[in-house]
This record gives sequence, C-alpha cells and structure tokens, in this order.
Amino acid sequence: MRSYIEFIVRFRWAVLLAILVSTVFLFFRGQALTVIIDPNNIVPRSHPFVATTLKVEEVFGSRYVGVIGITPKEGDVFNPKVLEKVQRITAKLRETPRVVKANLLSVSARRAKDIRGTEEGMEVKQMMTDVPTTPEQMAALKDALERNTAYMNSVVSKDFKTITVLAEVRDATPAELKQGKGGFSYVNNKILEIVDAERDDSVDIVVTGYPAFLALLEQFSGRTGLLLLIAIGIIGVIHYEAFRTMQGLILPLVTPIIAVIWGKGFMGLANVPLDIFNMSTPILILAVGAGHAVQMLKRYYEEYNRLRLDSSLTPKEANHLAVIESIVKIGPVMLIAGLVATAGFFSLMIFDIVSIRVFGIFSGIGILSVLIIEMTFIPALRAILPAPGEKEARMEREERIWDRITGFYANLILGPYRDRIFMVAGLVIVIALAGMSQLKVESALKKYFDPDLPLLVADRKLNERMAGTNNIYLMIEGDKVDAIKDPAVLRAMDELQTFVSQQPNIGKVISIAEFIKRMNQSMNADKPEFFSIPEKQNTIAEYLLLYTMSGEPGDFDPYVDYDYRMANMVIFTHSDSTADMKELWAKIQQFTAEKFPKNIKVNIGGSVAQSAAITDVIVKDKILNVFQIASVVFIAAALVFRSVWAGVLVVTPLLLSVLVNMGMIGLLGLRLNVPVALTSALAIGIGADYAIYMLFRLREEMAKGTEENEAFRKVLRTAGKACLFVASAVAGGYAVQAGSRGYYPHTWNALLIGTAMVVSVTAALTVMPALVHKYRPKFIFKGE
Amino acid sequence: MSFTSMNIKPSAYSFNRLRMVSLRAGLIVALTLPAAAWALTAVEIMDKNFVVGKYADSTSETTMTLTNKSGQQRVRKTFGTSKLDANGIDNKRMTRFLEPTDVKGTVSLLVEHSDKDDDIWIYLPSVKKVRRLISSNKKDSFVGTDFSYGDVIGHKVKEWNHTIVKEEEVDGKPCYVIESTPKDATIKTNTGYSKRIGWIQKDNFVTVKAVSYDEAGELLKEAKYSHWKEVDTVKHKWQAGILEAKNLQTGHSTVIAIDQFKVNNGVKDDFFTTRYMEQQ
Repeated sequence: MRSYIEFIVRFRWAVLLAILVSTVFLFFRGQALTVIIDPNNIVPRSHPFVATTLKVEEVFGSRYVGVIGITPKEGDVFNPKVLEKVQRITAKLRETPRVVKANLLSVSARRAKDIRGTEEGMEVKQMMTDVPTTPEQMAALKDALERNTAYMNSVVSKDFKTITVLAEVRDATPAELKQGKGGFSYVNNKILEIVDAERDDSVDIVVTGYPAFLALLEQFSGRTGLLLLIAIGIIGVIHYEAFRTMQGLILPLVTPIIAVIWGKGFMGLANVPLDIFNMSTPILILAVGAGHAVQMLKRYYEEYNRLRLDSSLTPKEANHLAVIESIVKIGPVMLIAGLVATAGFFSLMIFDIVSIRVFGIFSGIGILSVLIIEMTFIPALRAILPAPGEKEARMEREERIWDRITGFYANLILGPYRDRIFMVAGLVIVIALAGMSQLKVESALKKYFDPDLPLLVADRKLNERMAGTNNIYLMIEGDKVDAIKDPAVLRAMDELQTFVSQQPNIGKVISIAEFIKRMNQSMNADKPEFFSIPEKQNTIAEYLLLYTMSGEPGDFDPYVDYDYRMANMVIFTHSDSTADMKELWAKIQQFTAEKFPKNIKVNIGGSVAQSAAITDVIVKDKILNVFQIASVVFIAAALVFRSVWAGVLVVTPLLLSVLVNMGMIGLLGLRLNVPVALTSALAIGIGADYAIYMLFRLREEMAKGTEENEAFRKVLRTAGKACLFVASAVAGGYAVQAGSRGYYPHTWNALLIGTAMVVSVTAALTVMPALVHKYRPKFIFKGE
Repeated sequence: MSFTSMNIKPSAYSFNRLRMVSLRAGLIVALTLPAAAWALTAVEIMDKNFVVGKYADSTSETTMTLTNKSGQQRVRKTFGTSKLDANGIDNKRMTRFLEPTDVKGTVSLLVEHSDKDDDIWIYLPSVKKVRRLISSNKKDSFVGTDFSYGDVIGHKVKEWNHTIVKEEEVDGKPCYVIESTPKDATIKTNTGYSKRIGWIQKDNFVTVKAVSYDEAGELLKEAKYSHWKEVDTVKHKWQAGILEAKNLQTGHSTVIAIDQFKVNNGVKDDFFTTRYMEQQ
C-alpha cells in the first residue's frame, strides 16, 4: 500500500490527467444514457399477474389509455353542444402524434359502431357521423347506445350525465425521442391543449388515465436534478461547517460527483438504460462517496497535524507524508468497506424487478468508482494542492458541537450508565417492531401522488361517474387456433362476464362474447331471445367474417387475437384495492374451474393485478433483500476481522436502521413500495461503512497500545466524528426534498434517508462501541 | 364489397363521367398550350391511369394473405364475378369464399350505389339464410386488408390536385411520380389521406407503387402492384397479378394474389341475385 501511494504521489500530475480524461470521456458516454419511463420496470415480470398483463398488452394493445370525461353542468349528454365537443376532440386527437388512431374510442369514433337488426338483416353503421340536431335524431342516438351495451358505461355513463373519449398513447419511436417528443408530458400537453379549447361554463371536463399520470411522474422526476443540486450544496455547507476548510467543502463532493459521472458513463457504455425510478440513485452514491471521502480527509488532517509537530519537515513534505500516511491507514479499510457494499449491491442483480436490478448495478459501479477516485485522483490532487495553512489546520482542530456530541457518546459508553444504551436501543426495537406490524404494502402508481393534486381529483371524479378508472384483464387462452370460436367457450365467457358484473365495485365488463351475442340478435331482427351465443361454430366464424365487411378490421382487436386462440375480457372497477382484487380472483378461479372446458386457461392481469403482484413480491423480496445484503456484509466483516463477533457488530447498526425505517413507515401509515424499498437499501449500504471504520480504528488504537478508555474516546473523536459529519450532511441535504410538494417519493426520501442517517450513525457511535466495551471481543482486545 | 373488386382497380367510374373528365382535362391542356404541347399533364396521366383498369365484367380467383405485426396470418381464397351496372356508374360484385373451411360457402353480393349507402347481401351457409347488411363506410379498410375501399375503387381524379414531382425508374421501367393532395377537407376526411404519391408506368399508365399519408400527415401505407398482364389487348386493359400493401403504423400487411382473371366473358345478371347465392 505504501509503495503504491508513493507512486501515486510521485506521478500525481499524470494520475490527475488520466482521471480527468476518463471523466470527460465517461461524461459524454453518460449523456448518451437513455432515461426510460416504463412502469413495467417496477413490476416483477415473472409473477403470473404481471406476465398476463404484459401478454395482454402485447397481444391486445391498450397499454396507456388516456380518458377525457365531459359532464354537462345541466341536463344529460344528449345536447348538440356537448356532442360537438366530443366530435371535435375526437377529430383533433386523430391528428395528434403518438395517439393510436385506430384505437380511439368515443361516440364519434369510427370504431364505435351501431349494430342494428332489421327485418332483412343487419345494419352496421358508425354510431355518430354527424351531431344530431333534431330531438328525433338525438333519441335515435340514445337508442343506439342503449342497444349496443358494450358502450354503456364506457363511452357514456349509465345515467347519461358523462360522456368520454378514450385515447391510447403508444411508446415513442427512437426518432421521436431524439426530437424531444418522447415524453408523456409531450402527448399529455397536446391532449390538454385540445381539451382546454373546449372548456366553458356549461361543462366540466376532466383528463385522466395512464398517460396523464406518467406525465405527472415525469414532471416531478424533473425536479430530482434540481433537488440533487440543492442537496449537494447543503452537504457542502455542512461539511464546511464541520471542517471549516475549503478542502472540507469541496473534496468530499468531488469524489461522489465524479463517481456519479462514471456510474452514468459506464451504464451508458453497457447500454443499461436508466429508468425514471432510479433518478434518485445518485443520492446513494453521493452519501456513500462523501462518507469515504470524509473519513479520508479527517485522517489526512489528523496525520498532517501530527507530522507538523515534527519541526524538521516543511509543510510541503508534511503534506505529502500526510497524504501517504492517511491512505496507508484508511485505504485498506475503505477498500474493504466499499467492496463489501459493492458486493451487497451487485447481489441485487438476482431480483425480478428491473428497477431494483438497475439500482444494484448503478450503485455498485458508483461505489467502485468512489474507491478508485479516492485511491488515485484525490491523493494526487491533495499532493498538488498547497499544504493546509496554519489557520486552516487550527480551525479543523477546534472543539465544537461535533466534539461535544462524540464526547457525550464516549462518556456514556465508558461511564456507569452504559447499559442504558442497550435499554434505549431495546425500546427503539420494540417500537419499531410494533410499527412494522402495521406495515402495509401498496404500490399503485396513483398512491405516489398527493390526493389533492388536480389530476388525482379528476381521476376520482371520473372513477365515480363512469365504470371505474382501474382495469383488470382476464386472459382466456385456448390450446389451438380458433379455440375462442367454440360455442362452449363463448358461452362460458358469457356466463363469466355476467358473474363478474355482479361482483362488488365492478362497473363494466366487455368481451367478444357480448359482440357475438349482439350480432346474433341483429341477424335475427333484434329479437331479444337471440341475444345469445349461436349453436354452431361455423355461424360464429361467418359472423366474424361478415363483421370485417362492415366494421373495421381492428374493431375487435382489444378483445380477441388474430387467430382466435386468445380472448381478453376487460373489467373496469371502482376499487384499486389489491385485497378486493385478490378476493375477486379467488371467486373467478372457482367459477372458471366449474364452467370452462378443460383446454382453456384463464389468467388475470391489469393495473390492479400488477399492484397486487408488486405487493406480493416486495413483501417477500424486501425481506430477502435485507437478509441478502446483511448476510454479505456479515460474512465479509467476519472474514476481514476473522471474527464472528465482528460480523455481528457491523450488522447491528445496519439492522437497527432498517428496523427503524420499516417501523416508521408502519407507524406513520406510509406504504411500502418500490421507491421506499430503494431508499431503505441506502440505509443498509451506509450503516455498515460507519461500523467498519469505527472497528478498524479501535483495533488500530488498541494494537498501538493506547489506553482503553483513551482509545474509545479517540475513535469517537476521529472516525466517529467523520461519520457524524457525513450523516448530518446527507440527512441535511435530503431534508430539502421534504419541501417538494405533491410527489411522495421525494418526501419519503427526505424522511427515510434522514432517519436512516441518524439511526445508523447513532447506532455505530453508541450501541456498537458499547457492545464492544461490554463483551470485549478478542479481535479488538487481543491480549485478553 | 367483395374481393373481386380488385378487377376494376383502379376505377369504378362510368365511361360517361370519364369522358367528361377527360374532355375537361383536354380543355385545360388546350388552354395551357403550347408549353405542354408534347408533354402530358399530371391530370392527363391520372385520367389514363384511371381508365386502364376498366372492364364491363370479370371473373377471378384470388388468394388473400393478411399478416399482422407479430407474423400471424389469415389466408382467404375466393371466387368472384363483377359486372358494370346498366347505368354505367355502379358495379355489382359477387364473392364466394372457398377458404378457410369454417366460412366456406359464404357468399357476399355487393351492389354499389354512388348516391347512397351500398347494399351487401350475405349468404350464411350454416344457417342457410341470406341476410342484408347495410354499411356506410367507403373509406375504411377493404375486407380486413390494408387497402382502403377507396384504394380499390380508385380515387376520383377531379377531387385531387395532381403534380408531377419527378420521373424515375421502378424495376427498370420509367415512371411518372405524381403527388396528389385532396382539394378540400371533406375529401381528406372521407379518404383518410392527406397526400398520396403514385409511381405510374410511362408506357401503359398502370400504378406500380404508391404511398399514402394519413390525416395527420404521417406516412401510413406503402403499396406495390406487380405482375401486370394485359387482359384485354384490344382495349388495352391491364390487371396486376400481385397487390401488396403494408400499413407502416400498425405493421399489418396484405398480399393479394390474383390466381385467375378473365374479362369480357359476358357475365349474366343472374349471377347477382340472392337466389343464385343460395345455390351450390
């Protein structure tokens, strides 16, 4: 280590240049990093609910459906003014880029067909080509809507008080991404522009649906960059207050900032896209990086001050020597702590949720970068910078609030009330466990936002007025081509549709069975007794062929696949509760087992089912995640110190901060979801570092023969104080996010990162050394 | 609508109307002389393109392969007959489905009405009934294919503004490249196109390639017409053997192969009756 660092100091300029060149290169690679907005990144793809949802989206489309709801303030929707609005909105949406024209649905959409039986046969016409002007025409439109039940409660509410336009938005092409037309805000703003032109005193118009929520997510994520900058500023200020030197302000930030650039650059090189839920991951790199940088800087000042006592050295010589000594002492500790954390983060790669995997890769690379930079760039730079002036060195030594806190902890550990630390910790654990028993998992995207935001208010309004803004899909899958044309299958589907419609909270169910029944009825002069599935499969095939001669070929695409092997039953529900959904699914499974032919499989998907899947997986995976990282840390620490005790000690602050975090989520009535899970991973990453630095320093002091009590005091005053600096700085930096209104992941960051910092540093500075003091493990107290 | 409508591509126009159009076009040409004395105008080219696929009657057998973006296919085989109406404007077309087996024997009879909605009669063999189907959209997809009804019937020359943008070769044959834009918003809405570009072969005026743009101005479809055959060497009528279209927005594509094609063989009016549909 010594000859390595002497090499670095000797070739400091070359090292500096090499790192700068790499940084510039990686910066540009990082610019090429694509940020993707894919809600599927936070779902466990192999979960059956998710697999079904993805399959339904792939085969039947309808991934991001925007909903525009128009409610006249007086009377019903059968008013030329209201219908003209629907017609204009539909027409303009047809010309809006990224709106899928063929899938537009409203009373004036081409897809909306009135199937009517006549004495001679059947008439298929567009529901509304021109806005009715006479009362008779208006009544005819109402009849047409009532006759074609599929449109009731989907394009018009049951009470005819609200009418909707449904617009499906597709993903952007790479060309559109380049032109800046890739975002959902882009499309949503276009939709809002069209709708805003139609707003007046006579109607209430709301715009909701997935594109609107994703646009909102984009807007709030856009704040992340600014919040990160503010956080960096605050961290710098707190470090400046701690060190009282410019080096203290700048260097602990340079490392993590370069590391973030490297992290992004390597991800760009490896073509791993950054998803929107990982926009806050630089926080973790910043926190971990600053943690190591501060330990190093603190040790450097300590060594420099010690060396300056030797009057034979010039400040420059003392500076170079201090750089070398600090790396020799801290370097190995840092490498061990950093590699342990990296191993922990890389181990997240086994997760089924893409966002968590990306988080693991990004933070792992970031921490490795921190280690490289701290071992090359920083010592080289420090060797180039002038030695600290007398005043600067003195300022750094001065006793202030930080020393009083660590002094207080030292007195507590070494004094008669040591065991009270354990009592307090025990109490905290009990409260945390009580909180954890209240813990609820809820991952619906809508729950990320303040319910008072206009979009959320709009969504609730429409949810009440229409069939419900939450989707469930039932995918009915046969084992051969044309399986869905089988009358037995269609009859079972029809019964299932009726059964589901009767369940609580269900607003609407649509399936191909209903269209077939409708065609059969119209082919038989609209007689009610023919609203049924025909007896023969050939009749069904003929109806379907006949429909392609009158309707558009894509009319049934959302409900049946191209070779009639799979069908999609679309359910609209008022409830977004995953518990309700699971109850419904249990009933459906029982029903389908009795009614469907054995060669037909029925699976469930949709927004509510996805939430349920995330809930299932997070509960299981979150526990797995904590155990996984904790085990890696435990084993690594035990190996490094060759003591099981060391493993226990290092893991203690980590587990405490996770417990408190989870307990707090429970007590405050928050919900466990993917952003929260990512945030609490940070607690795990950092908690271990503090303990490792503390233990190494304690062992170093004891090995040097420092008197025991003095050794504890010195560790707290040096390594301990450095931990305190970083923890306060990071907690302070992220407290700012509490001020970001409307978007809960920011508030959760502020609260949970703050708590994680406070708990892990307090545990590392009190509980852990108190345990060492009480149980006197051999790896520290060698002679005993 | 029926599959045999292919036979009159690209026109469902009356000879009378055509003559009028040609006359007027001729007048325009005369007025713009002498600059264009030896060169054809875009409108003249389009008129000739219009007439080249016109016959009094036809019989045909076609195979239609529809492919969606995931590569799934639907294959249909049909036998069809067509006859120009006594009024010289509208066509009658009868189509019998030979494949797939679950719709075999289904027959459709389309009677065009230029002044009102078309009538379609369908014979459903499984219930042994002829039913009447009334439909209103002439602009929509033609029987589930990527050709619109308008593509099949032919777009009326006078409803569009035409310009020769360039001349270039397609598969070694010199062509005029003609851009056509709708004259008003109604035509744009009715056809679903804001622009069409056609590659028209110089020697016989058939369309060999075409692209069209949707109402929002985005590229929508690409079509190719190949294996042209002169089906009437006296009147110089041509028919493509293979018609391909791809919707670039949905990834759906269509290939229509004309397996057999005959014109002017005196198709009887009896073919186009509901009584005839029920036979066989």
